[in-house]
Amino acid sequence: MPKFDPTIAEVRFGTGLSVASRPSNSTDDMIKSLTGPDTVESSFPIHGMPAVQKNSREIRQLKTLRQKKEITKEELKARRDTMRNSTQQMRIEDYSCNLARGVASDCGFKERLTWFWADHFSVVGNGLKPSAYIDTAIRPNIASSFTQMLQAAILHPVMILYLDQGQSTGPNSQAAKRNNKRGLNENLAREILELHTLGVQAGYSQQDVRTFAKLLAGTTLSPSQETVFNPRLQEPGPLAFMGFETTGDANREADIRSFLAELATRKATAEHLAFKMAQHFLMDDPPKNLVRKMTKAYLANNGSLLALYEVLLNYPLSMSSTLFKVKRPIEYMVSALRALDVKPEALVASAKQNGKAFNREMLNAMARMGQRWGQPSGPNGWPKTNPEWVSPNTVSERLRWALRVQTRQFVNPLEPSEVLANALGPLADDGVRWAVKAAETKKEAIALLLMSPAFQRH
Amino acid sequence: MANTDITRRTSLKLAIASCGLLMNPVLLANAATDSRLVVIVLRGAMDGLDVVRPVGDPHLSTLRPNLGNKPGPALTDFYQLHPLASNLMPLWREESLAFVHAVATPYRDKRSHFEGQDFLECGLSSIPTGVDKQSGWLNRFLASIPSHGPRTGFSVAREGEIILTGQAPITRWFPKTNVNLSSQGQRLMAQMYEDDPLLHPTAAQAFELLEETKALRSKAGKGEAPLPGYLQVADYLAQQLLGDTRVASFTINGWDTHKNQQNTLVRPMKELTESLLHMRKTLGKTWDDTTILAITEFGRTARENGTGGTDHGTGGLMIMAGGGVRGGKVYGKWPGLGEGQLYQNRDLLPTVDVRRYVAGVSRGQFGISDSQVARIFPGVDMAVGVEDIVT
Repeated sequence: MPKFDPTIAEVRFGTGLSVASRPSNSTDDMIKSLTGPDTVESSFPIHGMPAVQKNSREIRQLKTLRQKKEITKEELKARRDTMRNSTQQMRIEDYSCNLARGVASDCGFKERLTWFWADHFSVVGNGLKPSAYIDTAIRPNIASSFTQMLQAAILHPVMILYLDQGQSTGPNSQAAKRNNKRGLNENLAREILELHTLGVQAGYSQQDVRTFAKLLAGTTLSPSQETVFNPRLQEPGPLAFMGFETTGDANREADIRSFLAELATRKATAEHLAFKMAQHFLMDDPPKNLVRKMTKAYLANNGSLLALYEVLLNYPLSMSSTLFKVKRPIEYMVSALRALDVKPEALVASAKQNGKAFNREMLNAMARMGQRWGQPSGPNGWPKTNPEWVSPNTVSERLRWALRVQTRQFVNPLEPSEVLANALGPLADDGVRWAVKAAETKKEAIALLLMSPAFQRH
Repeated sequence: MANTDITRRTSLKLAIASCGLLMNPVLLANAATDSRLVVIVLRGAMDGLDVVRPVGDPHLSTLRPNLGNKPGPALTDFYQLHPLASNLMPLWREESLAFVHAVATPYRDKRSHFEGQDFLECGLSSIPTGVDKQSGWLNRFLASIPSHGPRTGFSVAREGEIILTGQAPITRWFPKTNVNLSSQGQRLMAQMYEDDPLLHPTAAQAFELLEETKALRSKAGKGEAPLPGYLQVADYLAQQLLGDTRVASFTINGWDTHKNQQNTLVRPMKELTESLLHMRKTLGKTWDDTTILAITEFGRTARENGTGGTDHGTGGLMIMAGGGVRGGKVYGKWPGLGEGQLYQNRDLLPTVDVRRYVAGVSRGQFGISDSQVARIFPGVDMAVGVEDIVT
């Protein structure tokens, strides 16, 4: 077993070095901290599903008022605008909390895993939905079984909404008989097979996708935006596909869960997840041997995520001081905020105080680096490999932010040498040391070290 | 896909005939490297039936009782241009503007923007998955041009758009990035990156582009009002076309007009028409060597919906501009909007694969061979077409 290196572990698997946090001392420590109490979650709470549901309730009420002509068109518009503004402010605060958690965490691995799985189960959504979804479906399940996370993510209202499951109607369902315009929507079924479980290379057919969509039909949203099963949308009769058979029309909800559980523990799923995780944390083209080992451990432990992580953390190359992956924008920003010794509370306070400025300087900056928070380009999530994150624009934007962030009120003035020690510790090479010394201003020295090849990677 | 098959024979003949006429014959003789091809991706599915209105079809007003309330200028006896595009009439009259109606990619029935744009950008006959999405047709087209440098292909975009992504190297830059790092800082950064094969060339290119963008901005500022944000992309692209760039792309968003179409079209139409006019102005003589294609993932429903808009459809419109275009014409085979003429009783029936027209343009203007066309657009066979044009 390779020697555990707290610095490398913090950099590669966490949110970067920090003077304020206590790094783990062993792989066991890291694994244990995943199952321990989640301190940063409660310190930096996001608005969550109750706020999402409250919003949709209020919009419904406004529409009813308008239908009854109790408010004018102008009043409706004014009240919706007010709501929109307050939601936007709350969204910015949620975003600041997400950053703050990464900045504050003693267990950056937990934050990284949350981001990783949130990307695996990507949703694209406006308002408060993406954060609410991640906090209810992903974050509580990163140390459970993949089955559990899969069921939580797929059956989450935000996912149902995003992948159009709500309207999907069995072709022979009661609802379709009444209204022949209604029919199946294959979107969710297809993405589950292609993106979330087996992977696109696995041998499933268009017919399988369709039958899976029939199985899912009935899974929909209630008016209050909760996931419910509506038997009127259900496709009647037995369904058999991909080695799975339904157990009777009355058990459809349970059958959906069992099929998801079955998908979760198939070999193709194990291989897909192992590759994706190794590629995310280690390198674009991860060793086959590692992927094999991770696959084996996952299958032997019935889809246990901790088993998957353990193999990854204990793999010799995982403690290598050569850093292979370019940080994604959120990872870069959070690790930079840690290097700048930003107090997470100050970050959140700044977003509360002046949301617009925070939006401009942080959220928009991250979008220009290529990561529009909560809005990846599709259900396949963010780009996975280094070259996709490195272009003249995105490198310029990383630099621009490294210069500008130093002037924000939540950043206290520091000496470049301090920031260098915070940022890279023993990983600082001669090149970056020289650049920091030779820079004309402190601001440029700090920006340069944040742009150094070592700090851009983990 | 059944409908494409039914109309295949007729459309083939038509496409061949039209493709021969699309290009000015003068250009065929020009050196291939002088020609410029610009593709504007209109994301969100532009309503071709509203932009170029088939007012000569008796069914239009029944299907769309409200959308055509404000008439625009007549293009032909049959077609009328949307009033928001009437500023393009000078281009129409000088014959550097043309349209192709009732075209589509091979994508059918699911009407998803996501998949529709993948089809449009990858140029394949079946749905692109996995690695297919790493190769856009415009990149394959670029690869067919002999001896190209780093700027020959230029994507004016922040994000890697599939259409120009692929094995042929391109430059991608969005001219709204502005960084103030001293020249000393730039030197130090370059030194720091010396041994980094990924960051070094990227940063070097970034500083070069930043410098150029800054210079352009200060030049443009002299004595003139600064350009509105939405024209900066077209302006920057025009500058590139005056330089080494021969193949380029950019995006105009905002065409998904489900509601209140008369209003929601204002912004994207303004952006599109003014971008074309600005390029016309800026390119000067180079306009004669330029072909601009504006394409969209699919058309919209033939009927207007209950919210003053239209929903996702099938057959749509391609817009062509530039001196390389034989303009003043609406190409395509009109399928009709009557009973039994619509696709699935809802959408404009696509009569020709849009890729055939694009292939025709590339062949006409750049001298791309038929075997190259087959690589750019797998499944599109232009061999028959050549014979027919010759005769």
